Amino acid sequence: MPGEFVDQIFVAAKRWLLSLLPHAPDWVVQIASALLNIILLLGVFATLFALISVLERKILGRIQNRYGPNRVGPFGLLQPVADGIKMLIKEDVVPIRADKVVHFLAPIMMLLPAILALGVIPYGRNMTAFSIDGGILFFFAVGSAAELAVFMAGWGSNNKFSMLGAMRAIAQMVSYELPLLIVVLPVVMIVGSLSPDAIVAAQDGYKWGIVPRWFVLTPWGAAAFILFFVAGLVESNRTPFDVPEGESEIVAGHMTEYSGFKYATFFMAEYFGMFAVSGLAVTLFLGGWHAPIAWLEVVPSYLWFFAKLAVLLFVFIWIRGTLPRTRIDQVMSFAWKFMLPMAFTCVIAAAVWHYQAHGWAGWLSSLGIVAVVYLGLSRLLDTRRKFATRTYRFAE
Amino acid sequence: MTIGAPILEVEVLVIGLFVLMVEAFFERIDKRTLAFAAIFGLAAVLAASFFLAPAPTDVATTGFWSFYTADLLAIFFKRFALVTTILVLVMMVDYAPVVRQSVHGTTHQSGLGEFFALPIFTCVGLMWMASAIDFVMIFVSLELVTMSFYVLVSFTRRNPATLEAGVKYLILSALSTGFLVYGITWIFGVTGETNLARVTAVLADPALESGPALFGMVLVLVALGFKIAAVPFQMWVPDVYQGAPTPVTAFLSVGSKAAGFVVLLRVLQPFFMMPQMVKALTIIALLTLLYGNLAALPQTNLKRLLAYSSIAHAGYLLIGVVSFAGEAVAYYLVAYLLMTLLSFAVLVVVANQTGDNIEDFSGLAKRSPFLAFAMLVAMASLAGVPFTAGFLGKFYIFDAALRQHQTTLVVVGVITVACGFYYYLKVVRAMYWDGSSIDAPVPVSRLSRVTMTAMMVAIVVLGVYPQPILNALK
Amino acid sequence: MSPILFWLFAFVMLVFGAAVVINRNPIASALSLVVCFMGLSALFISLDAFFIGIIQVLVYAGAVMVLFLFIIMLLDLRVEERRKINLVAFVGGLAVAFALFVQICFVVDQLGAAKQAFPSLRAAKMDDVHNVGLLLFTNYNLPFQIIGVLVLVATIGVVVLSKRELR
Repeated sequence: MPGEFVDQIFVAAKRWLLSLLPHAPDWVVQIASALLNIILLLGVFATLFALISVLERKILGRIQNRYGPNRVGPFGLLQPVADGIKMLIKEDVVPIRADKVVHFLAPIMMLLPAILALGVIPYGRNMTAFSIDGGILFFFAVGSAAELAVFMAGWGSNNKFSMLGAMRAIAQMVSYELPLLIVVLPVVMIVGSLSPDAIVAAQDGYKWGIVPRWFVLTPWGAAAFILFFVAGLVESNRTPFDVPEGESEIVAGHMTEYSGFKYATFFMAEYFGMFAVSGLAVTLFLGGWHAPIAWLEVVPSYLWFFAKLAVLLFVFIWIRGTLPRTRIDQVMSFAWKFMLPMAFTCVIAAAVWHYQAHGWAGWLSSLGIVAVVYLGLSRLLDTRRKFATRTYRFAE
Repeated sequence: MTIGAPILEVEVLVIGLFVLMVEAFFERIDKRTLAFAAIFGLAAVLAASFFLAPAPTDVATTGFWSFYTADLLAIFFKRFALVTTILVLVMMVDYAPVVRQSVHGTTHQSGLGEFFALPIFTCVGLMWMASAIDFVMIFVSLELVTMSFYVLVSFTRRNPATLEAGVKYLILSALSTGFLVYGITWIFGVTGETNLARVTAVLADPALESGPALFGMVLVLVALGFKIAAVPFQMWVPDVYQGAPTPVTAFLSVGSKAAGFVVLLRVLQPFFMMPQMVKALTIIALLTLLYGNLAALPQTNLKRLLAYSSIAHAGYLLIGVVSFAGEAVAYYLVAYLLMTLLSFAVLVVVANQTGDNIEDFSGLAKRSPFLAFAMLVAMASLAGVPFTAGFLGKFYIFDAALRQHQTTLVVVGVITVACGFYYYLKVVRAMYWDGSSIDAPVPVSRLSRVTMTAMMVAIVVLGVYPQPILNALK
Repeated sequence: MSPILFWLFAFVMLVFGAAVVINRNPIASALSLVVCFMGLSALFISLDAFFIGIIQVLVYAGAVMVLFLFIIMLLDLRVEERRKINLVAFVGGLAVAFALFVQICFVVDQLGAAKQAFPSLRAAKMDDVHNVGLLLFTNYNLPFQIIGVLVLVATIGVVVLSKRELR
């Protein structure tokens, strides 16, 4: 079957490559297999990073009524190459009073967890780089190392803006890690496994032959997906939650004292983090590599995964072009007063849905629970402050 | 009508949550109402504890009853914890003005709600600890107690002495918890069990090398030594007792110590067949007796004096433990509860007017004959004057020790009792013989007057008629 | 598990554990502690105890250490760095540590179980997340509930002790 061959082409290619080592001992094969996975992963995501960085600027340009980069190469597609060369040959400035070791290690520590986290996501049928039972836990465990990296950057620079930025970043990352973890709970509860592969497998099939069984199509799943996405925005320090590096207040936050390639590494880590969070969102809620419509399953599974990933990335960029930056106190109170209770609501709603046999009654009652809590919370958190329309005195 | 023993803890927990919720959502009420409600509720639970359904006697291998027991010792100490908490809450009501001064707040009763709620959670922890027959259960309930004490000790945080006490208590308690967990891991590693009964069964096997288990037990002993303030793990006691808010000091010296002894009695059971254990405990008891009594001699601050006295009493209690005299220990703890809480109750009231040094008590007999008499009873009992509970307590302990031929312990014990007379009567001398610069009467609220009278009566009655306590454990 | 890996991670843990104590700069100590925890988690994972290994990273290296660093960040570190080494305390500390080491060696020597190979966990082929959850909610339910109360008390305590002005 040609469809299956195309679908499994990478798996088959890897098997063929490993068969070139017929008499090697077991551990050599294992290491070779792991290395292949890593090389492929890095290659794909580094390319994606280059592509997205230029696409982001182009999309932002469109949103802001300008062209964006269009000089280097066709449609400006070679812009990342030019940027890369520029970053590489820039002078690397390290402050004299900085803690040299910590300052040097911070960017590496930042990039490392993001790459590790990418390893547990299933990119297609039989295409998970490291398929372990506690994959979801692993994802969050390495994700939490990013906070340490931010801290190292802020502390090692010996600069007040770096420090303030790091404090803000850690405060908000710690706060949003809670809802991020808790909205994953309902999925894990329903599937009964922490393995990403099992979670994708649980979203297989179509109800009445047309509606995919993705978790995002249940009320609790939709709510959890939105919460997850917002928390993901914060975790990857993206607008509107990029307070830690808000240039209008604290220069560039924890990255203030970084220049040249180290700065580029931070930049790369931010994008890799974004890929990882979006990839996990796709896996958890958007059915992973499953096709949205039954007869489209002929399209290879990995293409579906990356299509969904692309949509999420576009939303990331879209939000960046649209929303203004929030204030740090708003970010924090939003996490504790809204995100956290809503996340727990999702858990309860999912339990109700599950124990009513995933049927209509469960669908409606979980929708009811989510809606009631949402409305109640909005009523409670409403400060009743009315904003007057802004009048411009010196401009039109 | 009867109820199951586990319900008692649930009831106390509900009272605690109720106090917290009312505190959070009804801002306008007088916060002292919460304390009265809590006292009433705990008294109701205490009454309920006399209508218990018999619990399963045989030890279950898994599940609830392999962690929890409702034997006589457990029920006895549950009541003990309830009584202590009630008395401490009464003291806390008197102490409220001090809390107001030493907590940053927006209203004049800021923080009082939590101050009244936390002891209730401590009480739950103490009650669970009394029932714990599994190392896991011992650990979590001990942590619950310790955690609430961390907060209570540093509650009046505007006072630097309190902050110091809080930090010291936090660090040393955390250290002792480390010892406890490490010890438990060793015992678990050797026996493969955490349930005390099954640990006993495994250790009874002569083929097993006892060294590693003994090592684990020594570490557990160190941790419990911190809790009961036995020498050489007593160094935190004086500073923490002096710096903590007075009702919390009282709670710490009675509740925490009693719980430590219950756990000690239970945990030692599997290990008492080993002679090394008895020897180690005897030495600890000797050191504790000597240190507590000798260091108390030069003290001029009453809170600090009571701290050293509490170390000394830990020594007497340890004699009871070494002599396998569970009933004597229980009786002594009751006596200790009454006399210590009574002296702290008087201290709270007097310190509101003057201070907590011994010289602040000068001429108390003129200012408030009632308080002076209450303090006299407490001090007499602490020293061990005949016809008080304190005397009978020491008598039972020495009696048990003599039966076990622990002559050294008895001799040292008697000498230190004589030593105790000196420093306890120093307080009495200040109250009755020394003149005072102030002669304004000390105001005593009706509730504390009733409570103090009750404690005085109990001290004297138990001093001549100890049967109710002794029978409770039979 | 491969003995080479064990020695590697044990060595890493020892080196960084010592660095925690030796370093004068609290930040460096704290970061060394993180590496030490990572080594511990690697040891767990090489024993096929994935769940504990990951939780070790998540809870200790992630949550606890971040809070730790936060506190250090808000303190004045110069005081700590300037402090002179107290020779008596130094020698005393070394002596106590050495005594404990000797004691543990002595005890381990007595322990029969320490001398034979432990059966591999992989042979049992277990789903450790599932098992831990099952035990926690059935047999160990009572201690688990008590921990719930404990966390409540800790929460109240944090609010009481850190809020600038209580209501």
